[in-house]
Amino acid sequence: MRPGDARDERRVRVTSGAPVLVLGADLEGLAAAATLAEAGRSVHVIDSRERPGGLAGRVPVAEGYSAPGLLTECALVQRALLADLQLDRAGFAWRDEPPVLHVGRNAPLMAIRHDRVDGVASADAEAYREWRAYIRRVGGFIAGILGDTPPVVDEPGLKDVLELAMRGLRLRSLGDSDMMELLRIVTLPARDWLDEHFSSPALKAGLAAPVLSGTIVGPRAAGTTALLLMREAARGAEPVGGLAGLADALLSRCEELGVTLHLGDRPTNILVEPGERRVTGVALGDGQLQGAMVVSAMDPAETVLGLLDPGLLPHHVETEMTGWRRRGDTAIQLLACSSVAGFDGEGGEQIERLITAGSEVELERAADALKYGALPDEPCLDVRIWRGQPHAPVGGATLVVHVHGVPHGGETGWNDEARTRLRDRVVDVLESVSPGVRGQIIGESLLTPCDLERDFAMPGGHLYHGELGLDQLWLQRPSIALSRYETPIAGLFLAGAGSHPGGPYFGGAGVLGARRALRD
Amino acid sequence: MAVSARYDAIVVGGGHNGLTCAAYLAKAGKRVLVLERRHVLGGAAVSEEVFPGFTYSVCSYVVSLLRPWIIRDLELSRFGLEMIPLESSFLPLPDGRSMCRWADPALTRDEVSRFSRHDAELMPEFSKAMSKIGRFVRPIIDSPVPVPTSMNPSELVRLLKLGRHFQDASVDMMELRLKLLTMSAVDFLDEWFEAEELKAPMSVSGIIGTFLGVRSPGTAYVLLHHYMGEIDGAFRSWGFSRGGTGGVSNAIANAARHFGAEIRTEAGVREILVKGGRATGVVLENGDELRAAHVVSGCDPRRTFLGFVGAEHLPQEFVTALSRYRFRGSSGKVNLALDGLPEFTCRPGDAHLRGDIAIAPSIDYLERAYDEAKYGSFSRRPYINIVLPSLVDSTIAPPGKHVMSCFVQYAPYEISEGAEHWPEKRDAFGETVIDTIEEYVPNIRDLILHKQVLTPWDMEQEFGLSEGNIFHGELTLDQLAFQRPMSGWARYRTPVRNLWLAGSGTHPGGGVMGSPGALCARAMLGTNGGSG
Repeated sequence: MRPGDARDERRVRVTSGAPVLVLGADLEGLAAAATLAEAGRSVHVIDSRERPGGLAGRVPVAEGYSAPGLLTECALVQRALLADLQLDRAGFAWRDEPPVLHVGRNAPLMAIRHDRVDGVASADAEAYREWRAYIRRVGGFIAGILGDTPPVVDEPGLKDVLELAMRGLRLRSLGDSDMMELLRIVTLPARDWLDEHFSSPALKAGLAAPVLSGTIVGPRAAGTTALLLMREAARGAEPVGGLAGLADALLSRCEELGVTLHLGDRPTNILVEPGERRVTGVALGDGQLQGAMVVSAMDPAETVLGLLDPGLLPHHVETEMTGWRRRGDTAIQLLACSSVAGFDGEGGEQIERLITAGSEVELERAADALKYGALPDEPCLDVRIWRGQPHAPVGGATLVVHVHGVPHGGETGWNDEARTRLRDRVVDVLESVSPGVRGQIIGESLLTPCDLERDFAMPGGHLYHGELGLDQLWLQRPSIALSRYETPIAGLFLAGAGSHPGGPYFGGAGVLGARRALRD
Repeated sequence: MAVSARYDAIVVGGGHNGLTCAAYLAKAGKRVLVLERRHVLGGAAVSEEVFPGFTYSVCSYVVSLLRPWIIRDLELSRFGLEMIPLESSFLPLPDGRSMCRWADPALTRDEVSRFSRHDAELMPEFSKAMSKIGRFVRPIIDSPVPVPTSMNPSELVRLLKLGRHFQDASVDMMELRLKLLTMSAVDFLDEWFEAEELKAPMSVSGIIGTFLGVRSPGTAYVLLHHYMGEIDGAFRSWGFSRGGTGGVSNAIANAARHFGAEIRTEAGVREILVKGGRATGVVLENGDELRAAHVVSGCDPRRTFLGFVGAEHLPQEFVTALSRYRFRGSSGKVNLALDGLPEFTCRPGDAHLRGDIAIAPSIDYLERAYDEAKYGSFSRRPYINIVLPSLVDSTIAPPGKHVMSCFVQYAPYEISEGAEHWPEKRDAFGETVIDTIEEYVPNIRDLILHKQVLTPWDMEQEFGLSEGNIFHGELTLDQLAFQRPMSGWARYRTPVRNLWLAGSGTHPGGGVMGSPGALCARAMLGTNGGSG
């Protein structure tokens, strides 16, 4: 979609008020734009890249091979919040999340499905059912936290206190037993919680591995159970066509609603009328756009420290954001494979997602390496296998491989030798899973955190704009002062992955931030 | 099998909390008997002359938060308690530099500014902010925890008061508190300070006695420990007890005896008698049976419930919850009798050795020490917290000679060979500690007259500390407050009627505080207020 198209094909829509400028055309930005446009606002989306979608945009890997986005975790999209956007009008659909197939060192192949796990001893199979049942019981409460604006904790007014009381009541309604269990486990390391329920090291690793992406810790760190709980409560459906399918649907809806896209335009400053401390527009590389509101889906520290003139924000708000941790921890290896017959499971089940950690120790060691700026010796891989059209020719597949525990700057920088070393380690692991796959690689591309930083205009190259640590989530995402999408600048709102819920909970921050903006 | 006359209460375990509980009960006129298995009182707060002429504080070596109200109530000063404040915190560095923080803020500023002027200027503000929060948190350790699930009106009032108590602060304080609860010690300190030489020793106080690293999320709040003292400023609230840490326990025992409690040593308990769901007394290791209306345990929850009571007398849910209560000892101790003063090459003399000395040269060093232990080995280059109490207490060593007490992390209870193999590794562990110290004190080996090495296994075997955890259970958020030792049982009562828990495995937790024992006694006497 090019800048001119929207204007040409737009139906006449009545839009009210001065334009709203959305910074960032990634999933959050597009969700925000669609929400604003749905409410009748005139919306312009600005992105420095030539293509929209951010990490969810389609990425070519070889002739005829492309990945529908760079992320592996696609089933945590905030479906309920996106429901109002009528995406099905654009032919968008949901499908059940694929099971996570799991192969670990010396471990039998197991399939972790939504409510059942195959390939483990019966005790673990039964434990998994009970564990998932508990998660279903508390899932509503957790989904409520994920899908809602964080509460006010500093100087709450009466309305805020009532809101807190309501949440308290919802928590109480879980019943003593489930509620106390939730309070007990929420600060635990994932390893400890999983050890309480399961024996199979491979199963525990398969459950813990996905939630470490975006963190700099391993499963023995406090707070990882909270991440695991959120994931388990939220997972279910994923977009047909991966996240690129969702991006396409959002783009299509935006187009229908008359949203204007400004691609290849880099915002350089958010213009603020100093007296009232109110936004008036955004300065671009060449020229500027006027706007009554700016909703930023860009990195929050970049937004408030990079795009605002110093001194506009209260000192403590600025200082808070200088501590925002967002150094990338994951590298992405893309592979175009002419054949992936080796990735078929029992009875011909086609593996779509694969995790290669055999035990939590491997996950922990990978995180250790990250602390000292080293590459993991034995990387744990999180692999999406996108088969057939439109991702690859019949019989082939495009692989998106996430390697957690990769330091932002590499060990001593990302020279060719380092890149090759990492790539070879990845391929070695894949080869051990499916012998012969090495010979079927006909195209590839490695994106280190440095590459992601440069190619996607994300400072630090962090997939989610900021570490998913306990102190950077929910009430503190990105800081207490800024956790409710509004900022001290009138008309400036945050609505990106660096806000709540952020992370892989796509669409949440975009919609909640946009709704907050609309209330102004 | 002799069955004796009934006591009002029998206290199993003569550790400092058990003794405190006994003293309060006796003071209230109850007939109390304390039974201690060892030949000496104090549990892990104990002094022993392991080597003639030298008194070791065998386990616990500094006293931090002994409650002033307990000192007053039990008149402990009259009964021999004497605290000597720590004067300094010394950090020797391998490259010949060193930093010492003093009780005197001006001296501290001078020293710190040699490393970072920015940090030196910020320290008073940091202390002030932390002390402010410490003051807010402190009341929590002096009263029983409210129970979140209770709908009892008086409970709700207490919860509301607590809530308002936490609300009563500026936005900054709220933010600070949230950060303390969620951040790692290093990340928290990174927001204030730049000098590694300051952050390394400060961050390590966040992980003492835990199986966590300085970069582990959720370790920042333990930094508050240093700021919860009655006196503003970090040092005055920490001190040595004259005569070693056992001086505290002995003073409490003296008070208890004065109030009429009977105390027996070398009287180990084999079993707590339970009949019809009620505790009725104990059986000693020698077979004697003693009856009491109430039984109190100063031992940790696992030893108490699985060791003395037996799972058959407990609800299944309770036993399951108990199996999830984590101990995970992570530390060892090396006590040395020295023939003279150890000289640190980076700073000779002893003026700066009259407090604590930290072997913590960098954050990576500390974190690597932790990483090693995660996978089942003791740290090859450990964190060591050293004190030389003989410099300020002449009663514990002959003139010119010294006691050197070394607290060591990490020494995981679960080594890869299996915990029961610790005795085979004890010597190697001790050598590692001496090797490390030798890098700073080259002549240390020449000075050693006697060496006592305690591994987590030893602490379990000798002192009854399950898995060698010095706090009767990890002090992680899920095992604190209304969840210590487990939710529903955080108010000193147990599923066995008239059986009470008074040790560090109850609120407010570990350290030489005395609160658990005192609050348990109050609960028993019904004097805690609310639904005690």
